[in-house]
Amino acid sequence: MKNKKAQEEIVGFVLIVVIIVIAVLIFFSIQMRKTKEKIQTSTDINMFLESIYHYTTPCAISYETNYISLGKLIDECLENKKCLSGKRACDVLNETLVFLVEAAFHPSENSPIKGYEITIKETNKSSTNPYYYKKGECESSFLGGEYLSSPLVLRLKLCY
Amino acid sequence: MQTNSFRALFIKKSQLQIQQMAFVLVALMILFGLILVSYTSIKISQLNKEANRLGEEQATEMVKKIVSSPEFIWAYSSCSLCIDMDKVFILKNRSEYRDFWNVDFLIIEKITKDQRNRTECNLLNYPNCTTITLIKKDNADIGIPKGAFVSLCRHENDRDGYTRCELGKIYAYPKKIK
Repeated sequence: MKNKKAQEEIVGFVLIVVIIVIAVLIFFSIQMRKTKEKIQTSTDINMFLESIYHYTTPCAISYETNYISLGKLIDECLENKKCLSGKRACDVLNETLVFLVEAAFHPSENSPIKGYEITIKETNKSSTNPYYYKKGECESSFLGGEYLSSPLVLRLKLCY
Repeated sequence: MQTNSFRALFIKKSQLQIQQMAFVLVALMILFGLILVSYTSIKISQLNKEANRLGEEQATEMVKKIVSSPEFIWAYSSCSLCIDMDKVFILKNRSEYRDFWNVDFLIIEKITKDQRNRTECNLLNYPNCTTITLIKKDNADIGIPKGAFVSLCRHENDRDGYTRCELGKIYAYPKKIK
């Protein structure tokens, strides 16, 4: 009788502990999922994207010193045009974007920023992204930003 | 004799129950303590993130205010984050502007691939330099200055002349209230 009562008490205590642990685990998993799903936007990245939109690229069109801005270079790339140097506008765009992101944020395996993703999208078209570039690992946490210059949206996602 | 042994047994049982209760309470306190510690650490990290975000926003607003002033703004295109580098270079070493923007520290830096080779701009090396220090008060208690990306534009006199905008960062630290 005495043994049975003691066993019941132990079972009751274990049950309480198990219920509390399960409740805590559920609470934390919901909290973690919430933070993982949301890509945090950064004003720093937004300002970076707005600044690079006006960056003068090495691509000249029409005449020798008519170097166009990155914003115009995106338009040229979408129309599949070439620069005066003979290089494809899309190749120059890729080189310029990679140079700017790497010079500004220094992503590498040894730095806090492990990788990045650049996307250019046309808001009036639901088709696939006209430009997408990814470098490094992008698995855990992100910090993102975008710059809208209708009909284009320039997006950058930094991966930590 | 029998009463005494029964009493002793009863006291021993009660002591055991009190001990058991105490163990349960200690275990529960440890459990709740652990939950509280992890919850507090999560909240503190969220608070730190929020503080960083607010600091970033404050820096952005301060920088936007400085960039949009007539002394800085690039007037040749509609670009809210473009700075006229020639104007800024002229402002360098002008004592009239030392207290104009209410900052203890104001530096404009060109972003290059190699961040180690920084050269201060002067009349001899401009525009082939990276940094323009506008305000740097020696006696001021300057913390970590806030930086924001901007576009540094100027007229390039090469060949027929053209407009050249580069990526840069403006660092500012607000004046301390005394």
